[in-house]
Amino acid sequence: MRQIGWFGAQAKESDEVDNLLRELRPRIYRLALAMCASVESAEDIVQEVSLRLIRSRRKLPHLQDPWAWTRRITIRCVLDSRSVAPCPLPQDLIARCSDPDETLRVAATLATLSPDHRVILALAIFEGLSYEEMSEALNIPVGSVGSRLNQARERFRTLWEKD
Amino acid sequence: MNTQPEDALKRFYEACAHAQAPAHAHRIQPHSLGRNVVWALAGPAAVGLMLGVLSLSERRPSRAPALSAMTIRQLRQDDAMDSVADPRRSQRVGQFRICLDTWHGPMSCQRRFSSCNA
Repeated sequence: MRQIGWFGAQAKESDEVDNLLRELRPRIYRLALAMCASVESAEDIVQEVSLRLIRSRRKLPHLQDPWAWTRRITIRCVLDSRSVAPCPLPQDLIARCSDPDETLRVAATLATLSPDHRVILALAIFEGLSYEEMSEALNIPVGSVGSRLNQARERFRTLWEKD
Repeated sequence: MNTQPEDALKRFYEACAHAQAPAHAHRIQPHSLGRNVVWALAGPAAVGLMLGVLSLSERRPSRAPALSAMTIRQLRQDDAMDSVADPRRSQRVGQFRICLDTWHGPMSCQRRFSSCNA
């Protein structure tokens, strides 16, 4: 069979991308799961982020903090995807929780929040970012981070108590 | 219920932090070339193949449509699905054949790989 030149010529680049993907994929998946509360959406986000990483592969060697950059791409993908695909949570996640009903209720409540609110809650609580870090990740002023986070918390509380 | 919503949310996030990411799912979705290849063939060969397809798109923009316009019609591998999951076995040569529906008609690609050293 004829060997295609560009396929072999990019072997080293391919190794670098593959190693980075292998390292980052679990983190992307967990962050996406926290943001979407849906396995199917999280898997789609992982695929989309993987694709965007591959497309931007020439930037990779020059990144000081690959995870911060990947996190921004993940956020963009979650915000772009808008809707959350309803689907059961993974069994290993439910099994890890002391109260499965509570877990399902949290997921259902998160699914009714806007993507902006789901994202900022995950950044603040799941990722534990500071206001400055969230400001950079979301590309919004620090003051807006505070107000959006308060709105998200309030909205989550309202929906939780209404349920 | 007396559960504090923010406490429940924290517990949910703690569980997410330990969720098992799928290593590689053999999920073929017939509407996105990039996603399918990356996800279905997670491993060195998958990235190699993706880079190949992306290069095709980038080098020949006038002929190659956007990736989203392509559809996998057939993905046949000779023992490749398992091979790519195992670093040692991925050194074996596998064969991919993909048929793409493009704006310029069907396009067929056949590639062989031996890990990323092909």
